[in-house]
Amino acid sequence: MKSFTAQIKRVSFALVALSSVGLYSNVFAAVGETTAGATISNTATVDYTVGGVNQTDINSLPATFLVDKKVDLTVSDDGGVNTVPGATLAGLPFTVTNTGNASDTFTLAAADVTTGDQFDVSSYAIYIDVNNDNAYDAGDTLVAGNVTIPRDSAINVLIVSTIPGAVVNGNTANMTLTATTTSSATTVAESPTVVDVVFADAGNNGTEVDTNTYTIVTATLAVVKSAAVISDPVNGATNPKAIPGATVRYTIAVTNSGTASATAVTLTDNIPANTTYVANSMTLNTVALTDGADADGGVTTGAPVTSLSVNAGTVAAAGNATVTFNVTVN
Amino acid sequence: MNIQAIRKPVIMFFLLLGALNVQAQAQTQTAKPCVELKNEAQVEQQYTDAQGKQATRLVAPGKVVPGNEIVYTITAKNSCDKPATNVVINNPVPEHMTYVANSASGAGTEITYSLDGKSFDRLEVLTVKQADGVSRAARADEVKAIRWVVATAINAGQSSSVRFRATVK
Repeated sequence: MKSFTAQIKRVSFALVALSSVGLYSNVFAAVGETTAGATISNTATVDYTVGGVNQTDINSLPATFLVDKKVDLTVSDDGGVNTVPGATLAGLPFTVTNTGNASDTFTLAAADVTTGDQFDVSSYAIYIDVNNDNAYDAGDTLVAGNVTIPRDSAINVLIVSTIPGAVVNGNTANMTLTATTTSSATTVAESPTVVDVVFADAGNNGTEVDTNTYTIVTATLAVVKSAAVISDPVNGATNPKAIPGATVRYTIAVTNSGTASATAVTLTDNIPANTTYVANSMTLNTVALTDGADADGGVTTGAPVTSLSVNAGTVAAAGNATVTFNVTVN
Repeated sequence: MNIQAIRKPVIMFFLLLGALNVQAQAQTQTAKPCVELKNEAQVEQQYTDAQGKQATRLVAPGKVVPGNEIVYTITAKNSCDKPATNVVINNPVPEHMTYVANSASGAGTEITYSLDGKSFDRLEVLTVKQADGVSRAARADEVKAIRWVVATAINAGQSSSVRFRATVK
């Protein structure tokens, strides 16, 4: 008994020391299941009379047994994660909770689910999400070896992956996190004087798994270029024909059919052969742009002009940007 | 001075007498009591009997973890040649355990419960005063002790068994 008390004290001390680091969130403080190793003793008393004389109360011998170690854990995902093609250090959050009645040590394993989704990650590793923000930070620590979780406590875990570049909007990748106890279930007949190990988790196998999903949320841009003759030297603006001297307007339309904004969208185009750029004829979303390298984002290159570039800025999801410029036919 | 000198041996004498008296009492107490009380902790075990039927039996507590249920059987046996009357069995619900509602039983006994281990009554009449001052009916999980009053005498050589269940917190 004395050694058990000492052991329990040590465990609780370790728990305090660890929680001060902030690694563990004590989520079930109210549960307070009886700690493994506790002795439960029951003594009954009988009071009676014989021949009308009250006799001394008799105590039974105590009926005692030891509370065994209940291994119980859960693995849960903390919500899917949106990411972009080519992302590095993309964190996929999970929580591993020790719901048993003693501190326990677990092996963590991540796996990429290869069916039922559209892509697999390029590489991955398991980290402890030290600040529990469900995203990878420099302060998060790589899991090397097993993790010990105090009873009624949880740790936040991230699968940190590199996302391949060749994925498109809406693609998903499923990943699993498995936590397995390093305790061995007692298979021999139990001894009332030994703390046995009982797997009380779902499936009674001491291992739990959950799946979480990366979803590619990105911009999907499409560019459509069209040309229209807007005037010619003979017909003016009425049914103009593409004869030398005619003015042709090029329209470059960019549409974003993705689910994320595209930022720093720049459209460039070369001036077609046998045409001459009409100075200061660029527009962005019907707003005129000057040719110089200035704040309006439109700029031409060469004299005569051989190419032009328009910084369209951000194109929102389901949004578009339209650039036009005019040339004359030589 | 003189008086004190006389007093001392007198006091000594009475002290000696007292010690002898205690010894005498201890001897009567160590005499084998009429009633032997046995307390047994067991768990229910499902098994398949010789005919292939599912059956339940009570076995020594195997692996016991929080949430498991223990069956306590308390047996009072009269090993004297005279009947034992007014037999009252008391059992506090052990530490780390919760009494299971309606589980106390005992043929020919009147069962009462206590929330404090001192005053006993039927569970239906026990109340708990809440923080707001309003009393409510006590719950089974608040039972701290159980008492069985055996209605009839336990005759020589006979025994009376009572039982209750509790779960490990």
